[in-house]
Amino acid sequence: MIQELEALRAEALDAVGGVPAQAELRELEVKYLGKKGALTAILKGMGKLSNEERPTVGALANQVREALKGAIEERRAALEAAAIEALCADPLFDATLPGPTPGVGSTHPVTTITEHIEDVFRAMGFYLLDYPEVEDDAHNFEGLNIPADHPARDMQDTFWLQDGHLLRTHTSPGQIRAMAEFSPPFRAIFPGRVFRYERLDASHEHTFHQVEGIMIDRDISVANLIHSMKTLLGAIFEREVTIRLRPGFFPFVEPGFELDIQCQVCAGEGCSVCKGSGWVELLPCGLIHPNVLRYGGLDPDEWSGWAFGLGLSRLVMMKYQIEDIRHLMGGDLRFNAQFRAG
Amino acid sequence: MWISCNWLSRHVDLTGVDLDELGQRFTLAVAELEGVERVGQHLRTVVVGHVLSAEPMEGTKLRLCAVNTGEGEPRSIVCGAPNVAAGQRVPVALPGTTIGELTIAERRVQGQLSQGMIASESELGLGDDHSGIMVLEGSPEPGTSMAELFPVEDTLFEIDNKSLTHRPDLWGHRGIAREVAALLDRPLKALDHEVSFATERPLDLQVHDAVACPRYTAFTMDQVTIAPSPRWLSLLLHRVGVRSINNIVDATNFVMLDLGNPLHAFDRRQVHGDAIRVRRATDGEIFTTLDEQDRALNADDLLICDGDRPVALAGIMGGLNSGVADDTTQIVLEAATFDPSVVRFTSQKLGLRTDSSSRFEKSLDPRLPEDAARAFAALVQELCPESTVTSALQEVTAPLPEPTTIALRLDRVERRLGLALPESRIREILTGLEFTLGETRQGVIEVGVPTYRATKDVSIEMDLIEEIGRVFGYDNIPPQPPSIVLGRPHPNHRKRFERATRAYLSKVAGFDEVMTYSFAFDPLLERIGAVPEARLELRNAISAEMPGLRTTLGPNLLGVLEKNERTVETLTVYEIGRVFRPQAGALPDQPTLLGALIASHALGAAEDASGFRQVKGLLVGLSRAVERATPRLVAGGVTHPWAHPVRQASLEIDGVVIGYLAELHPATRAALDVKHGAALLEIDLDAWRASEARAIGYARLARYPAVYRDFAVVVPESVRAGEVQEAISSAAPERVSEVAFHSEYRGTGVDEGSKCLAWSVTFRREDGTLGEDEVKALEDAVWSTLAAQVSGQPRV
Repeated sequence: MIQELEALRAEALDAVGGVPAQAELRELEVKYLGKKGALTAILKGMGKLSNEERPTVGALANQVREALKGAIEERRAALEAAAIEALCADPLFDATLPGPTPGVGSTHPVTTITEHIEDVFRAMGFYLLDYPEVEDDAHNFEGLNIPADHPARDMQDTFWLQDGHLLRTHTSPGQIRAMAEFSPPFRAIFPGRVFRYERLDASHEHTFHQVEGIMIDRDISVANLIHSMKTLLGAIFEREVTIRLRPGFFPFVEPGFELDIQCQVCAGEGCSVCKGSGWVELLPCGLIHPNVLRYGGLDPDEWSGWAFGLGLSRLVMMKYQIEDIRHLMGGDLRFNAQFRAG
Repeated sequence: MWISCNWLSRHVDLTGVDLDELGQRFTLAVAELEGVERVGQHLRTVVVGHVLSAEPMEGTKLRLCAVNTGEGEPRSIVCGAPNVAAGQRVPVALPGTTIGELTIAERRVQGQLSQGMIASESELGLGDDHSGIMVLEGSPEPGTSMAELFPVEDTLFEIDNKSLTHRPDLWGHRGIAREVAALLDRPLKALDHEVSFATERPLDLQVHDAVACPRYTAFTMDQVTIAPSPRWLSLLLHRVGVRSINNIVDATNFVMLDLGNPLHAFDRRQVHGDAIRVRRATDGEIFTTLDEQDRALNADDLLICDGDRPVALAGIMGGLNSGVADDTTQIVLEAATFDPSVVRFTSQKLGLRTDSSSRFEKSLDPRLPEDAARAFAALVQELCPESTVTSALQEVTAPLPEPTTIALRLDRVERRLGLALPESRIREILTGLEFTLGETRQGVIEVGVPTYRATKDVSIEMDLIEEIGRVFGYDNIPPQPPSIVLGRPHPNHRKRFERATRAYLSKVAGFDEVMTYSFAFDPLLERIGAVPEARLELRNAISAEMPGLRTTLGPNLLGVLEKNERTVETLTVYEIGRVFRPQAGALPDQPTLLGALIASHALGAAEDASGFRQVKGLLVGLSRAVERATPRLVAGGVTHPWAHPVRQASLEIDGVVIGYLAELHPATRAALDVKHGAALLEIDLDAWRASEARAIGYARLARYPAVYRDFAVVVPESVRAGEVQEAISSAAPERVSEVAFHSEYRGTGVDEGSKCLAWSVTFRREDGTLGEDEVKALEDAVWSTLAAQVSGQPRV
């Protein structure tokens, strides 16, 4: 029996060592170690052995079993490793082929800037409001202290509708609508599309976008306005900004200002962007005119506020250095598709 | 507008002032200076030369001159001017002088040494005359620098006229000087024009429209001699860009540019009957202005007439028939105030903007004509010492406005500026601007407004606070954070809805957002037969192609398709924007719509109806993104001419149509001539948002496993997928938890006239595991229901 066992061990180890694949290895395992396998068959003869022989043969049989098991495990591990290695080898792999790119669209750059500004202001507690694009004279002009014979009301500047309404020439009508809608103190912005009767060229559009902002409280002052503008513009541009106010005339603010921002390109040294002045005119602002407060139903002795209007189309053009404003409303995909953020 | 600092010095002492710094302060306190320009420095090395001889050079048009420039030896100078002659005093640019691009140097000209250049007026920048060299009057000492001879060195401020529209007082040098004086805290020199008016030859003045002409003053002068202006006058005018004509015309211009009130001088011979009538034009009246243009007028326009005929277009331009001529000796001088809107209207209508009209448009002070008339008389007497004033300063005037006074509360100054200023400083600033101040009573000062500020600029307390703020300097006000009341946020649901829509379309579905005009584009609408019956029409369209407001977004997106047709094979774009629908007696209805367009060559085959399915799928996905129910699709009912008659559906929420899905009508596609097949989705976002939000909530996870079975159902072509789906669901409503469409198939194994629709069906029991027998029974129930309801058979 000992010889039989030794022969089995030699044969089986030889077979396991040469087996090429997992399936055959499994077959060998059954053949030698299975319930009906060769080893079991030999051990069936154990009963015939003497008491002296039995432990020796038993020990040998265990040795053979362990040796075979070990060899099979070893072979199995080697085969698995080889199989994974084979899966990893891909000499013809081509990483330069493109993959599909789902969902790469664009938002309009005016939308992108508008949403950024909305987020900044909302984070600072401003209401986000929106108001009609077709307006009446009362909200667009009269209520904003723009008198009947003011040049702004001319057909040269304003689109008038046959029914007597007009396309709002600025977002400022929202000031009056906001005062009617909310009780002060409050602060709000209202972005949107505005219209001017204007011939198209590279720097003039009859349709463009603005955002208006107001803050109304008991004692809003010029000092507050300066602080607010500096803070808000810093938030929009995401850096410290230097600003200055110059007198500017707008009927719905008193005092009214043109706000200049220190040129971002040259940091105030003077360059072609700021035409050597170190400053770039950015937005009109001011304290809300008492007549406008009154029209909005507020007592100007009790309440005051600041207001500003920022040209979003212009901001977009500055940011992306777009040379021709007509691209914004042109619907040319060669333009729009450039803003696919992915 | 150009402002000369030399000119300003006539009104305020600028000695020792840094003019660049002054310019900066002016920008921050008054109006933006567009530029500060130094002129005349180059004339320091231009000296008076005495031409001793000027001999022609043979074979040339040149002359060789010997010129005494005060240096002992005369200079030899070659000169090409036709008017050079011995005995003249002329300006000589010495070597080293730079004139424009040219630096003068000693050089040889036609073999002769030339040691300088004899210059013309225009070469020196002293005037417009370039016909020959400048000949100096009198006998100035040779070698005297031109800079000593004339005030040729000057600093010019350029101001954007638009920044002065609200300040009628700043349209002359004196007004600017008044601001400068206040900023520098220096006195403004008084106006003192000694003029003796007489009464010998009165005019007959009548104003027929006191609203259009609230004040008309005039007087006459005699023994006037028309001549060139003296150098100081022509030079100042030249500096601010006004051409010198003759002494009288220059005097009117000078006074206008000095005090801000335009004047007009008539040749008295042409003022028939010594009469002036100010009246409206009659309809169709033709008047020839000084620029030799015939102007067709009507009753909107105001004329100055004599006894017989018009002689000037009021406040805008004189007539060709009555201007000052070379032989004029008697003049009538008009100094008036006209209504700003009348002048603006006529000026705009005729496209005739003049220095005069742009000033009258600004609401000039009705007290100004008197000052201007006096200043003119005094100046003419200085220019023509023999001239006499031969009439009184006659006038027809509406009552002058009462002086304006405003109560200024000192605490209000502090609260509105956000800065505590001592009362003394407030008084100093207002007094410096010639406001008159009363006593302070209980913190209130009665402030008198100067008449030149009262016409429209300063009328309320805030205007005074602005005066104080700007002169004090806004840069000197320390920024101060506002104190803020904590309040609840006010969410903007519309914006949120729009953002969710955009996020899905741009970031998930891969669409490009476009913006198109709020106007309808009629040429396109006409081609596709879609000009709407009711819409808002413009009174003043920017172009005949866009006469009204859009009522829908679809056509504008088709315009985008047309525009990009040649460059893109696939186009997926959308716009979120308002459309406009008339509403009697109120603002128009202006809801925000979403319009989305899918267009692609791949959809181009006529039998391919997948465009509709693509926009439908988009709508379903979008519904989830915006958390609303998918609107019900109702076949038919879309009447837009660009909608395919069959491949379309109206979108309904609660029985109300809020949009549509449609493939492009074949006729529209033909009319637009595009290769692309296309489908559109248009939906009223406001209406959709107003509908009930999709319930998003948690349900306990199923405790028992579901069983999944696929059904390949062969049905006749006429059966709709929805009917099949409905049949499957209805076979066992308690057990069928989902019926998902898998695919559609025609071809081998499926008979002609039939199609195979494949579905993945989920069976589930809430209270236990489905047994094999139960599943088998469910399958049988499904098949028998399919057979009964839609003639559905298993695919073999």
